[in-house]
Amino acid sequence: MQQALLSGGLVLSSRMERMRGWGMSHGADMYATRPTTVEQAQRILERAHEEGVKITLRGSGQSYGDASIGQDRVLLDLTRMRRVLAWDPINGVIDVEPGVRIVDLWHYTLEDGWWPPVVSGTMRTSLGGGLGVNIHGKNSFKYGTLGDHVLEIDVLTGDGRLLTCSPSQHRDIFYAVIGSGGVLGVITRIRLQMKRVYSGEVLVETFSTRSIQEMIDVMEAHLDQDYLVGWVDALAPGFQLGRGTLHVARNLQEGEDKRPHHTLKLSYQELPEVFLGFVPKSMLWMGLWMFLHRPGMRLVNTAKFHADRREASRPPYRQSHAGFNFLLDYVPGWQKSYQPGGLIQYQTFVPKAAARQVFEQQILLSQKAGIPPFLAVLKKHLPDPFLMSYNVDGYSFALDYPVRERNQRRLHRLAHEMTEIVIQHGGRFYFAKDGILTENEFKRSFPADRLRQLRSLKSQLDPSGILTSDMADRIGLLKE
Amino acid sequence: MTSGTLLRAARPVALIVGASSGIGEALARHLAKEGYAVALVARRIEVLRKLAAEINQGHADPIAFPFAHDTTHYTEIPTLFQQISQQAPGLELVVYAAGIMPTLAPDEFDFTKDQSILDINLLGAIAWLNEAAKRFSQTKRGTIVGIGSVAGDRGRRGNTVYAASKAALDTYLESLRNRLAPHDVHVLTVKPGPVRTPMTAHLKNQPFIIEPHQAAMRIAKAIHSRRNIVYVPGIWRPIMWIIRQIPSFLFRKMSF
Ligand SMILES: Cc1cc2nc3c(=O)[nH]c(=O)nc-3n(C[C@H](O)[C@H](O)[C@H](O)COP(=O)(O)OP(=O)(O)OC[C@H]3O[C@@H](n4cnc5c(N)ncnc54)[C@H](O)[C@@H]3O)c2cc1C
Ligand SMILES: NC(=O)c1ccc[n+]([C@@H]2O[C@H](COP(=O)([O-])OP(=O)(O)OC[C@H]3O[C@@H](n4cnc5c(N)ncnc54)[C@H](OP(=O)(O)O)[C@@H]3O)[C@@H](O)[C@H]2O)c1
Repeated sequence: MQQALLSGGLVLSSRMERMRGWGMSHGADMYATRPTTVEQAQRILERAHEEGVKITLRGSGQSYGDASIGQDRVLLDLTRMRRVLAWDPINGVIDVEPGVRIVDLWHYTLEDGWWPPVVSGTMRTSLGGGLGVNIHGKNSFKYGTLGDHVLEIDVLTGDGRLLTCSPSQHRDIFYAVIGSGGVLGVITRIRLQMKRVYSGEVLVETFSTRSIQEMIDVMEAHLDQDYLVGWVDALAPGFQLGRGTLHVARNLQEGEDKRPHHTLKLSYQELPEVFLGFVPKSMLWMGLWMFLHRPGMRLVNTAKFHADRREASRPPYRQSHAGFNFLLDYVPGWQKSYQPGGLIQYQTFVPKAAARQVFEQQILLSQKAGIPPFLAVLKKHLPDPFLMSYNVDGYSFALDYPVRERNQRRLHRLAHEMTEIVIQHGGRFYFAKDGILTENEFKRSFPADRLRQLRSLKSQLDPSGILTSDMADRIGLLKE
Repeated sequence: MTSGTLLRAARPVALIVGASSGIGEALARHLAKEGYAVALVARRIEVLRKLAAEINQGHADPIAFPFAHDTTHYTEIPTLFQQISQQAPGLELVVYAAGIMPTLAPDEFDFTKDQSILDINLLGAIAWLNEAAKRFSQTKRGTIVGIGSVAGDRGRRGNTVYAASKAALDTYLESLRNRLAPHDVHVLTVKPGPVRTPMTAHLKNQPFIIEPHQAAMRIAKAIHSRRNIVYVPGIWRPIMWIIRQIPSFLFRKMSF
């Protein structure tokens, strides 16, 4: 197939493959192409244009919903463009192809003392896909988004031009391509400023909090730290509403770690391959499946809450970067335990003043609807300079819901109910997670002048409208 | 349940060839009511546009898409098939309902007529349904529907080649079903008795005749329950069973 493409064959003769969002609640049949060079990617854009087919870009496919799939579209999978092009260990500047993942990045640089400035909860995220939605990490309140640390990108536009963009060159394109969900152009090279670390470990402190307000207060008291992430037990009943655990962590200063060469070793970072000493991790999701019903989840949440409470009484402890940041990678494929319906993550970003109230209402509404989220995570954020920014000066709350044949109507109703409240309070939604927002809701949640700017750039960079996705179609992102 | 479909907001798409009249038209209306988006194919584009406008009434975004095409232009079909799936992404059902049944005088042996019957009823069906088969064998789901006829179950005196075209279609569909079963693709053979459509308007004394919307309802039900063969209406199943048992030397002497 790849051969056929190179010798001028049809994109449409590529085989159709079923691609799914990471949450498995959204899927699409796509004509699969997997270029290994910029020229091949360029060629696929050209052919698609000639054949009148549209393209959806995809990195590692870790977006929960339909951001990186497109029904009947050509899949432009960038994971085979995965080379490190240049590395400067003195200044910590790295040039990579878009398919390079976060895990590849730190594997390459950590032993030189550099860690990615921003990482997502999974290390499988590709740099191209991570910039496609402009990811944030647990350090978002201090370090902003991944895009904030990018020095330069190459963009292959929908009409086949290759532009180098940075905060000073093609500035408007730079700030629009990053975070716009892959509809303006293909990011084909990324120059990233890494962050200097003096240890392979971070210093973690755990707090047990009895309400969302308390969690927010403790967060606000620790703004000098590097990481803040709160876990809320959304199944806890009324009088314990919003109880949870907060992890506060910071990077170690130079000299604090007496054996940096030891802790910066990759072998020190690896997540354990087996669980409880004997269960292979790749099998673990099957065990999780047993807990994915309400009584099971209540048990897990309560047990975690009390375990964390014990931990909270312990003094601060050290944990490897990978261990602290990629908790969600401990059980590979854990989303499979949600089969066959999959799961959605409903994450909203709400300005400071309204955050507590909106998030409490989300928990209450979910409990009332009989679909309490199995996982609920609170983070703090900063505004950023990108056109399609989802960030606000406030907090985000990410809720995981199982999707089942019998709850899907209720889930839709619940999501739309919660969405109204978020919109009322000036909140935003996030391409990486969304799978359920309607066109009308999106339009009301996003500044109209920015949408106009996006569409005007679209008509310059991709005049025949080749780049799209099921998400873009669903929320009417490109519709005049 | 195909994974990743529960939250898909867009409608599944049904492609209907021969949608400008009769059974195809009724099926298009019915499926649109059931929640499908419909791609309408036939030669008379004006008729299709009017039908699409009616179906689209009350919907903010269009759910019916008309395409002009003559099924005997076989080489156009692969391109048109792709064009349709781009314009209406999410094809789940392909129905071939185009067909002709020219009247034949008792002493008429007209090859030109015969050829066009085979061109439209059989070769057009094969050209379209092969495209559907190719796609669905890759997406590992989908439904293919061919409209045969009770006339194909026996070689009566009348409509020689019409009956032959339906018999051939029947065998083609059975073979397709066997070939696609490992890919979870459903192939339905519909065998209508008389239906009140322009095709039969000139005929008198049609037994058990039904209206097109009744036929559409029964076909849709057979699609959902993944039937292999459905007689429309159901009474034709026992009748045709009996008729098929009649030995040829006797059948020849009977009046039909
Ligand atoms: C367990 C888990 C935890 C997560 N934790 C976090 C978190 O803490 N913070 C956070 O922000 N996100 C988080 N995410 C979401 C994830 O980081 C994002 O969805 C990210 O985009 C995934 O990268 P990807 O390579 O898989 O991109 P994909 O999902 O493949 O693509 C994402 C978007 O980018 C576009 N795109 C892909 N490649 C390119 C390219 N080369 N040029 C232009 N556009 C492109 C796609 O069209 C799509 O719109 C998490 C996801 C999971 C599964
Ligand atoms: N009515 C019955 O009693 C009966 C019984 C058994 C089986 N059937 C079968 O059911 C099917 C539908 O019949 P019907 O009664 O609904 O007939 P109809 O009302 O005459 O409709 C026939 C349809 O086929 C289309 N068509 C014919 N030739 C075509 C061509 N060359 N290219 C593209 N489209 C073409 C027509 O559209 P355009 O003219 O616009 O192209 C029209 O939409 C036929 O296969 C028929 O044999 C009918």
